[in-house]
Amino acid sequence: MSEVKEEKLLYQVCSLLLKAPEEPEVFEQIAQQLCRNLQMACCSIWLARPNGGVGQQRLAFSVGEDNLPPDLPTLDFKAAIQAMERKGALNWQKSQVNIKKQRLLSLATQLSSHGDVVGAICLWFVNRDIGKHIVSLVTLIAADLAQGLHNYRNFSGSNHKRLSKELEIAKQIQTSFLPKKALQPEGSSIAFQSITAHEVGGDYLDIFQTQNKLVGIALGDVMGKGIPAALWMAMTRVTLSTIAKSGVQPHVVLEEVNNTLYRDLVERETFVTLHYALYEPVKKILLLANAGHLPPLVFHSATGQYELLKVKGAYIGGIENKKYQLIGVQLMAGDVVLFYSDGVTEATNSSGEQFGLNNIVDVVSKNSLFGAQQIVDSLTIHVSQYIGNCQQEDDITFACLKVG
Amino acid sequence: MLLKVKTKIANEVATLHFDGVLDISTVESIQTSVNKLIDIHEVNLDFDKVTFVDSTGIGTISKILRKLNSEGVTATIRNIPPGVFEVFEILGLPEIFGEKVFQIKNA
Repeated sequence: MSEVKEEKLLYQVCSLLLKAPEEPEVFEQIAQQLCRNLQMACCSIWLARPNGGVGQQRLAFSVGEDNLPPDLPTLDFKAAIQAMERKGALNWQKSQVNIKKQRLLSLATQLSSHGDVVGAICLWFVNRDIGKHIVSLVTLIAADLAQGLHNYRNFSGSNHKRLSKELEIAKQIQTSFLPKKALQPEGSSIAFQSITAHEVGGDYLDIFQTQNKLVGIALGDVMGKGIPAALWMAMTRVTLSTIAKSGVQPHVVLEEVNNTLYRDLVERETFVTLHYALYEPVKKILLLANAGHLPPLVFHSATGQYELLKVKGAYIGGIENKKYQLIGVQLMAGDVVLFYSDGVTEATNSSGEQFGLNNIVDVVSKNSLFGAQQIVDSLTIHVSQYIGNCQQEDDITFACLKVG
Repeated sequence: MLLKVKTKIANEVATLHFDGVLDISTVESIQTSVNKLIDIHEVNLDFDKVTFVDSTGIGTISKILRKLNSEGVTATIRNIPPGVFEVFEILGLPEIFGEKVFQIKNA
């Protein structure tokens, strides 16, 4: 094969990979080109699936000659698997099989990209030797092909659609974790808002009635964002709701949550901030314990003043067997309590400034005569307007209790 | 958003000066800078010019402090701006790693 033809073949492979990197047909076309130009009996391209899926996938299988042995696909499968299991990229393995006077020579190698095995390529020749120039040419092609397979595996249409679908379902599951309809305890009102920055998020909010008719309000934030945070959020939710439903005091709930999750969180080098409150609607008493979360805000309607319910306590996953503090607050009719995640205070506008506590206080105080839902709606509008066209960087969650 | 890291080493004591924000987009650089340190018995992280730390930043600081503690290396975070220190306190970092590790910036 002349140098010009070799360069032409390389160019064709590259342009095919560039033109439609997400289409599996591209690999079939490349296999056909290789078969034709290198006078091969057969060429196959394989996709490795180390992260799930059933076995390995033969993306292309192109035949360049007639009367090939019927078990060639099986031999090809074995050669590909061996190549993928063998260490070292572009480490060509030659082997020979004699079937019915035909001498079948194979040349196979693993294809790797970014340190990962992404697939393999197998070349088959009948009754002819494989020259050094062929090996050096297919080595060049294989390097491009490895990158192409990497892109295909990560960004191909089918993969992308599948991931999108899975994320959509994950989002639905996570949304179902939110309180269906906020409880409306006697005389008081409760409302909430939760807007994730990505499809799924790491903020956690739950509002439920305990067995002794108190209202449990839990709000937390898992370190990080997206799917990993969502998994921890689900674990936190299950743990807390299991412990808290019986009406155990908040500091005991946090101790139990910490004891249950501590080892897993430390092992994965992550943490959860969490506060849990119990509200007694008749006496209007709020009990609160905190594990590293931002202090809830109480707006006293009688004085027009606000206070932050600061309770010290390390985050969940910080200290083994940690004992948490408990505080109690006597609320009055008209008071507003706001629980929130850092996505609210750290919501950033186009000038890079954060929404901050002062804006929250401003919105709450101006709307304190309204019910919880109106206060939540107003805060949602203000935060959304503040962010404007900027990207929402973090999950935004808040819950409001308006004491009646 | 960027984070600049300058490392100074003298007598087995490393001082890392940070300038910028410590969030999900920059945590790699603080982690890499600390991982590079060899034969050090004391590490000072200077937060004088750190303007913001998010939860991933807190996670990375916790990870680094745990690692250094397990290796017997003394670690301190110095010149912490009050706003950043407040976040550390809310999360309970001084309680977890010791009050002396965190030194607030003098006004």
